[in-house]
Amino acid sequence: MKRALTIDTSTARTIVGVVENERVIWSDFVEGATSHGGALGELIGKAQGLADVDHVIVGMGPGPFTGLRVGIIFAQGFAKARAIPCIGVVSLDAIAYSQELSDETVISIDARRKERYWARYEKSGARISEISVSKSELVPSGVDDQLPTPLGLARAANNDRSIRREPLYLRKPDAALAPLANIHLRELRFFDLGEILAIERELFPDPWSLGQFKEELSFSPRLRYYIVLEDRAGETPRIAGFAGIAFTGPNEPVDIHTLAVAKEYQGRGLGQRMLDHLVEKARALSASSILLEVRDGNEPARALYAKNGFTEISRRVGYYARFGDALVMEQKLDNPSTSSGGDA
Amino acid sequence: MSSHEPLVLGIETSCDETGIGIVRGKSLLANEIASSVAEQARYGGVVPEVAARAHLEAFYPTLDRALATGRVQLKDFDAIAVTRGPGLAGPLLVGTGGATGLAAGLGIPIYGVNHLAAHIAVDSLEHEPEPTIALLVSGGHTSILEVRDINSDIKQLGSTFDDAAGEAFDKIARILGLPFPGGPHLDRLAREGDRDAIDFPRGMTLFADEQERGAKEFSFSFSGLKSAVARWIEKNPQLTDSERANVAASFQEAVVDVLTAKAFAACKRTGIDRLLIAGGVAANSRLRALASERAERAGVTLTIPTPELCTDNGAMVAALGALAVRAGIAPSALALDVEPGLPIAAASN
Ligand SMILES: [Zn+2]
Repeated sequence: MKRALTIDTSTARTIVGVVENERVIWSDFVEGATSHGGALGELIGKAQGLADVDHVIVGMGPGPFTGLRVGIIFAQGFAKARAIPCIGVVSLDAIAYSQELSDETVISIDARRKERYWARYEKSGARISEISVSKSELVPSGVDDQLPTPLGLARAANNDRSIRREPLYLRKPDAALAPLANIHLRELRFFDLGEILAIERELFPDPWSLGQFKEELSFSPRLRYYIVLEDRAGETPRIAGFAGIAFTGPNEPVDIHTLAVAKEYQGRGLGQRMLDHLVEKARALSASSILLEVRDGNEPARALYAKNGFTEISRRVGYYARFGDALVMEQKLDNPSTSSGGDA
Repeated sequence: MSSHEPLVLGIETSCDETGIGIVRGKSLLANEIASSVAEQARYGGVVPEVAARAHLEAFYPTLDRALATGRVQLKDFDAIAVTRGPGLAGPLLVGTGGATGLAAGLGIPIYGVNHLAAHIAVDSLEHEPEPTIALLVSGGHTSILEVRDINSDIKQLGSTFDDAAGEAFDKIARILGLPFPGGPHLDRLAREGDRDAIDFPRGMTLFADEQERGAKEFSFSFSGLKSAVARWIEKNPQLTDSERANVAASFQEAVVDVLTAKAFAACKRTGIDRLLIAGGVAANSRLRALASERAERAGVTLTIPTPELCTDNGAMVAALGALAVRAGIAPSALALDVEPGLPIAAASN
């Protein structure tokens, strides 16, 4: 592939360029476009050297969603019409490749709502961290609010790590989900395992196998207690989430072995609902405390447990093999039976 | 003859359906739709951001299906037509973005068209265009239009002051505990009820004087009806199954009675003896029954496109684009911007 049409709409600037190897044949931009739609048409109408374009490169964000999508779908349409490939790249990486970096640097752009999109880059412009959205005051300073260039976009397309098929939304849509009216909690049954494995694989980088689940359940009901949340709203019930604990006896800790909510049901308090139920169960079992392990990078889960009075008591380095450390969290239960000497 | 007819790609993304249609002249070659309605159901209504994400994901797969069904290739097209309004801004932008990208790549003209006009133009796939009154009823619109010429002469006689008819259906369905989208469920429930059981109000049918009649004769309002239904349910909290069906049937009757009465009044007023009903609510069984009953009495020719062509779809956009090409109307600029609040007077371009 020789000549690229490059497009980026991840910032307030609509950028179009024609780049051949390291040479910019033509480029122009429109500043302050609100929708990018009209600006893209205007720029493409003026562009030179389009006849020999043999691939399209488009910035996939992060950036404001509406404008981002316009650039992506436009680029894909152009490529499809010409029957040439369309390569999506991380726009933030393109900004890095558009700069002369003096050293390892954090590059960030405004994400609105007092937050910033950011990532860490090495001198060559290659990204060495995940891309995050964080509160502005938490983002290390570095190269702030720069823009991608056609050349930066073309360079990003040469790095596998910068290539991206889906837009980088990094945020959920701002909308309140409708209340779930038909969610029922019940004990897990053996024939739930098919659905549960699917959720497990969807959520976790190191999912449990069917064999591991079977082994867990073989301890039930004397040493294990597993529940599911079932959505009975549709024609056939679906499992929305599941959780399980292991326990030994009174005045011993209860261990939360798993707690999972299927992606499409997340953000609607279902994790909390299962946790409430498990805490109640732990109290009924006269447990001294509740323990659990959570992967270091699993921020939503850590936040849920912290909110519920769990504190971090230790870190197991490399617990999740390739996937990082485990944090051990604990919640002490003021068990009346413990203070009165125990009668359970 | 067919090979000289313009081959037009139609793209519709104004709400939650990704519609891609292919029309050659007046014949329909493909009409593929991807809907995000299941996803929207989680939110209890259409959320623009959720819809826009779904459009982006569904756009090219839906286009590929349409090309396969229509047995045509992108390079064969003469023009692309795309909805530029009215509708939700985020979703519209996905459609126009894709359409302009394709048009730029192919080097063919693009027509940014009016969604409401497209609802009417779809009839050209089944009948020769003639002057008609159009009643557009869906979750997004409720209007009565006087259509003398689809390309150049469309006048809105009235629209709704508050909810669209389909919206009112969805809201009452929710009060009755029916799943989203509620319209079809309510229609089904109503069949088991007595439509005369409860006398719900007919909005905007009584006028103090001729001046008020002139201003509101073809307008709608469903808020009074909605609160009347809500009040009735509040007073009767323990609904039996048959009472629920009666509420559904009586509410539905109040809506379709007003819709049809005003549509036929518009025929009479304008001297146009054709009525076209389109939009998602045109699928409502009671609306169809009452409209054909009244059409016969009024001597009006009633046309309701097949259900797939009534709801939002790409074929209707392609049909309107084909009519514009045939009429020699100048295409839009490639720098096409969306217009979420596009009025009907701007029927094309
Ligand atoms: Zn519509």
